[in-house]
Amino acid sequence: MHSILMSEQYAHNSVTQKNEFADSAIPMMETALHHAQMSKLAARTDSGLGVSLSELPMAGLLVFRASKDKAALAKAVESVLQVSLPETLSTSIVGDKCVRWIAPDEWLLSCAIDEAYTIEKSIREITGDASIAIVNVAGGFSALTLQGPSAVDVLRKSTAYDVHPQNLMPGKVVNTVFAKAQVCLRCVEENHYELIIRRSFADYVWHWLQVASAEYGLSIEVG
Amino acid sequence: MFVIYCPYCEEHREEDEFHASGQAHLARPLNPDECTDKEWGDFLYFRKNPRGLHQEIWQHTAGCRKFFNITRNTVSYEILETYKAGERSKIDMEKPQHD
Repeated sequence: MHSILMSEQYAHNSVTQKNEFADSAIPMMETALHHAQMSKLAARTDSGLGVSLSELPMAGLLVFRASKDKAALAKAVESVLQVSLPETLSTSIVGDKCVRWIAPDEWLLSCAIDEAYTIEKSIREITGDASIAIVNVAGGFSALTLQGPSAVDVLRKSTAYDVHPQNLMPGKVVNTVFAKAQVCLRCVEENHYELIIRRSFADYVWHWLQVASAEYGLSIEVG
Repeated sequence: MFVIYCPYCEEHREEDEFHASGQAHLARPLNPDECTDKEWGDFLYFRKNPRGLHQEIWQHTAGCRKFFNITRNTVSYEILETYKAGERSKIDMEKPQHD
């Protein structure tokens, strides 16, 4: 009896899903913390506490790599995005696009998800036969932001990197360890940090942040 | 804990971010087929374990993920230099060090 009820319930769910996405040309995409229902939590928590956390909506993420033909890549990025490839540990920002320095031969671009393919295609067209690599890694990562006067205290508990505002200043990006995961940590502006983490570690980091932020008061916001 | 200067990130970072990958500057025999078993065995298996200066390969696994070299003193744990893969050490390894 129980199993029949269950299967009816599942059948019902799948029908509603089909209807909901029947007209959509875009495939269904959920962020890594979709199940945490951030928007419901946001309505239930106070705002303006010590730390506020939000999960950013699905963004396009492209990894650029080039060593020998770095100049060709830099030129193509400049003509497509109107920014230069950033120097060591820095970022180049234009509109909603941000290019992060990851390694001497590696950069990470975030952009609107529907722009990623066009950007990749344009850069490939310009670079031609040059030895470069572009990989769309949007599905592999999740982005969170930490804001508020105590955001830096939460980071201090979570990473061995020196996050003092004199060391991790706006515009700087570092790859480092975060709890037992790894993070691409960027200071967007004072008391505003962006964390790009592996999608598979999103739950772990989400739970870690809730515990680490508890003493300062954590408010959830919709990204 | 080491605080290691990454020559690629151009910054001192905590040891947590790095992974040690053994002795540096191992020259692979140019023609393995003509090696004696002893020569090949020495290259493949035998490593230095000095008291004093040692050159090691490290990788910045949680950062830029690049490999680089470190010259350090295994007694005092002092790191004398870090330099990029493919570069030469500036330390005279023959000169006796105080430890």
